[in-house]
Amino acid sequence: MSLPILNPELRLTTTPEPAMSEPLLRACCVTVSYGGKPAVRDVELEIARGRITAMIGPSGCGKSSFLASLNRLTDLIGGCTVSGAAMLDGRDLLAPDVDPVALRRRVGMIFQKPNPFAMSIRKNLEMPLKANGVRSAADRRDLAEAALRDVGLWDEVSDRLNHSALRLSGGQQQRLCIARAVVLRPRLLLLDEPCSALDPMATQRIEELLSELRGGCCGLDSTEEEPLTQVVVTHNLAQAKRVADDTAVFWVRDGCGVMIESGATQEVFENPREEETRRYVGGLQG
Amino acid sequence: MVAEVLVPTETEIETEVAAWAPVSRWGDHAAAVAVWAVALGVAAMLLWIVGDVIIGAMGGMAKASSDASWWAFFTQAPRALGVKGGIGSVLVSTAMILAVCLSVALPLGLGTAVLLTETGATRGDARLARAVRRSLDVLAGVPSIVFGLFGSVLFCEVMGMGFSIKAGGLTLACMVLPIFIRAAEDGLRSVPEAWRHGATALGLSRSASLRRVVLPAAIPGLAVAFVLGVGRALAETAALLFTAGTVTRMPGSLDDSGRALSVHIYELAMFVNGGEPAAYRSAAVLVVLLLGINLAAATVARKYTLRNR
Repeated sequence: MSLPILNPELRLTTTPEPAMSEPLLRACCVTVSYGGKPAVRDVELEIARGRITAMIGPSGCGKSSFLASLNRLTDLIGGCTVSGAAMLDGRDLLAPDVDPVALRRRVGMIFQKPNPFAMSIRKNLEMPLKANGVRSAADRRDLAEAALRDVGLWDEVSDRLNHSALRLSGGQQQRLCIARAVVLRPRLLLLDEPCSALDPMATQRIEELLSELRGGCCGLDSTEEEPLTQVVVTHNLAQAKRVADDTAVFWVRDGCGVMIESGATQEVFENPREEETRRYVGGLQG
Repeated sequence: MVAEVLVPTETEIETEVAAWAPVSRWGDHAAAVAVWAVALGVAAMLLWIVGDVIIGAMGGMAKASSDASWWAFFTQAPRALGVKGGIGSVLVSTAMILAVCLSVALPLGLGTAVLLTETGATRGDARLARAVRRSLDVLAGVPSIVFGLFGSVLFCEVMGMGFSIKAGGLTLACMVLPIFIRAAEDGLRSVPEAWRHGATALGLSRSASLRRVVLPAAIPGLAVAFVLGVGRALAETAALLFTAGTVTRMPGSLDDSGRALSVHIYELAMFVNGGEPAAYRSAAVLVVLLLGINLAAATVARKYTLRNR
């Protein structure tokens, strides 16, 4: 398969083992369409390893569609097709021969509204582990505890692990969902407006958590602490500025979403290349 | 001049008073009375039926008590066309017919409900689901006597089962399926889509997501579907007359003919002289059975809902 490589330097650096500077994920010409009509077109984006990338832009510009395509949740939506390539660890995760179930264990997803299952806090964490082949009950218990510590929830809930997760506050529920995702030790965590349903205090807590997770977390096969790469879709520009190392700006051009620029967050906010970005982030100062 | 501005004129006061006057609410009150009357009417109808059956049965009991202890009614076989003796063999036949019906209807129904709710990503899936749903709605409206004739031809004659509990149970399964499936579908549909997406994003396969997340969360709705199905099966008479038959003997196997409780009531009330007391007693048993199953299902549903909250 021939991939359109825009950056000419990439063609030269085809070293067999990827260096740390190599991006974790490289999207090439990704187009997401609903019923044949593209919602977001030709996205070229590199997600840097161990960093937080924010995707910002107005509603309807295809950020969330692009995000959902990265762990093939788009497969669940009738009439939705994705073309292009997204290389993760040298494999095109959009290729039909990639098992979406195996992929989703490596690429986790957090949703806008916290969605813990209607079961106990403990079972919310242990059930996905069991379903993903962790046979020993003791291992599952230890991993669940470690994950709760990772998200700073252990001290708050350790005395009521058997209570329903639906009784937690919204912020706690969202942290539980993050724990549930990181316990599977994904390479990449996708977050679709993870704070938009939360109050400012809970939002701050999640933002701190995302920064901490960047440094690594203990999950499945915790032999080595590997930094967690995260992609956050957000409507909150201040949030993007606070948490993201890199930022990609999406916009609607000719009735279709496109990625108009990306780079280091500071660069995008202070020295934007595109006129739309300048106006969009300018709203922040106003 | 200032005072003139501050002091409101008489008409201004009147307007002000009129604005704060209570708005007439007779429409609300009338609606409230109507809603209460309808609700009380429905409750009263249930009480009337249950009360009539229980009182009728008690009268019968008093007469029968000379004959044997009240418990004997549940164990003895009917004698003298059911006027004397008990309903022991009828209860056994009913249980066996119900068991055959449920063992076929539950797995088939649950499978179909899952097909209707959990698939549908492609256009072909959606078309199939629509066709299935429409046929079920038509089937649910078919009169039971038609199911009885259908079962009599297909199971008793074509498949050679004759008048048997097996044929009766299978005919009932055909009748119960549309009701059970639509109710189970509602139960599955009430599970939030966010949980399905959450399970998928956690690397659960479709079957794992169904087994570990969707089905447990749907238990209250599935319990309702179960009650509706069992209720329909227990209450059915016409479909069983031509299929399971009316023999009151204790059935030895699923190939024997057997008389269900509702059929027993029908026969006693319609064709047997002096059968009324026994019919009342049998009807009381049937009503108590239905209420018990209803209560059990409500308890299951509440227990799971509480655990979920």
